[in-house]
Amino acid sequence: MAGEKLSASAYDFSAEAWSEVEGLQVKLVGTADMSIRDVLSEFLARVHQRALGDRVAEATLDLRQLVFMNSACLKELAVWIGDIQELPAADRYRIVLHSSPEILWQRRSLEALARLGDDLVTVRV
Amino acid sequence: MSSTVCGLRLQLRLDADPVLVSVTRRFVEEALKRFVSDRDLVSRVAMTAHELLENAAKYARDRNAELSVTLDDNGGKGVVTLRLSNETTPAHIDRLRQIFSELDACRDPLSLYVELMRRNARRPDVSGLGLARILAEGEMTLGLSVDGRTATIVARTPVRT
Repeated sequence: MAGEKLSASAYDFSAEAWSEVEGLQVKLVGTADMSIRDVLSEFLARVHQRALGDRVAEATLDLRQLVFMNSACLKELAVWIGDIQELPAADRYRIVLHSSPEILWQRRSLEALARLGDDLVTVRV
Repeated sequence: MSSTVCGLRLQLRLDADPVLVSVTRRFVEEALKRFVSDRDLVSRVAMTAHELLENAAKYARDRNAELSVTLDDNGGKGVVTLRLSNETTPAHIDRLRQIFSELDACRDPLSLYVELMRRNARRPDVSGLGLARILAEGEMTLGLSVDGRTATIVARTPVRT
């Protein structure tokens, strides 16, 4: 596993992804609203390509410092999950959504994403 | 357990600029916190305000919109009501009617929300999730009224005691 750290930012949103032995680590911080949707979309596409290139079994998405995410950005996460679901079974990887119990919107939003992702997506609190 | 003091009246007439939507959400959140102690309710109302304002930012004529947030006593029980009004295009009003037709017929808001995530994931032109999110995550009742070119969306949720 190698490669430079991926990053993106706009307004008070920032995103980073890097490879570790356990898999791909992805961290989103700040507010993800309509102003940063395109930034997030492009970032997640790069994350997906890195995950495929590294042939990871798992990507952990750390949302513990993500204050808010709007529905358009949630849709971008749904697109990412859909991209994984369309892969041949051998190429798929799991997503772990690491949430904060203190950020209350996350419980319901991530429950919906977990249902969408079926056994590919789990939520860790 | 939540304590309620009824009487919150917020009326905002604004330019629904995309960069102001999150600012307004935080303002609504901070204002409601002064009146209710139920953090989950405050979070759901703030999310609802955000999604409604983003609709206005995308579809309102000249981005002019009015948002009101009220906390009323309804027979001894508190009710939070959000109301967003803006002028928009006939095409968008038709689309709102279609969305509300689907929302009104839905018996399981979470299943509809997940289905829309799946369905809209391959449609780059629209999100199409905001109102379903309000219904499923916000646990709101939703209504639409149209007067000429002005669309008004009303979202309500009780204050749990």
